[in-house]
Amino acid sequence: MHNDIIEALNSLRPTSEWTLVGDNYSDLIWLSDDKAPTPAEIEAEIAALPIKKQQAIEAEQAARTAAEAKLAVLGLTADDLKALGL
Amino acid sequence: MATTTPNFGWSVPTSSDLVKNGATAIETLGDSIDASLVDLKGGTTGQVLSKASGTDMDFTWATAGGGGAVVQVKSATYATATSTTSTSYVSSGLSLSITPTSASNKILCIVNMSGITARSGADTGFFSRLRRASTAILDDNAYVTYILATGATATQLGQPVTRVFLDSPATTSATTYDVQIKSDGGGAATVTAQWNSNTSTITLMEVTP
Repeated sequence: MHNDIIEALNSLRPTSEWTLVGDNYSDLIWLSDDKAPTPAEIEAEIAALPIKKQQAIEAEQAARTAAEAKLAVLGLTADDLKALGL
Repeated sequence: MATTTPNFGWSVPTSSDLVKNGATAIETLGDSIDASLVDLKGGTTGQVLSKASGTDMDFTWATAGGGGAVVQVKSATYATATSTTSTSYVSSGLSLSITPTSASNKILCIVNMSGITARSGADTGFFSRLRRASTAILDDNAYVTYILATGATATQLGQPVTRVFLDSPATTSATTYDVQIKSDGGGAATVTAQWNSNTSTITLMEVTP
């Protein structure tokens, strides 16, 4: 649970400073001037993170596929780019 | 005709000596014993008798455990995961108190912490420092771990964090030692002590100077 809360905090407030002791929201010490996310926001983010991670993986794969298609038009492959040190 | 005792060589009369010489013999024997035991005089409460040389009956009174000896050992553990993105030091939760028996004694502090450094969009380093009574005594401002990565990909690196320091608290009052941690990278660059609820330990050893 500790790691889940950390991931949610980093996702919701990526520039904020805080300290978390233990596994509960009540153990969160907010150090930044901005407002700490509520327990409900953290719970929602924890639930959403797996979907976001999957979407990020899919987006990365789609970008790779598109790039490889562009290379194919030029008669190149990813190995050709590696050979060029790119 | 006088003779001597087998171990210490004290002069004693023999059974065939004249009675009139008995008082003189007893006086001589008493003086010999007195001289032999003179090193046993003195000393104070808590001191122990120590050999001053290899010579028989050559003793001296000394402080118990003198010469780098361990007087007492205290140890504590903490296993609650503590994470922070703070760039200022915060408590790791690991602390321990000790009451030195002598103000001249030293305290050897040994810390072993399970730590992890994690980044997600910002490079970071894991800092830790040791404090005595809220005053930093080991704060070398050196990275224990520095993670250098680019892009948004999350990266984590676990490591044992070991800190050893010989302190001179100069007190006989109860003194608390604790460990603080901080991140170098700020938000989204997280450092964690007792990662995954692993146990961290702090050991304090009072030793004579």
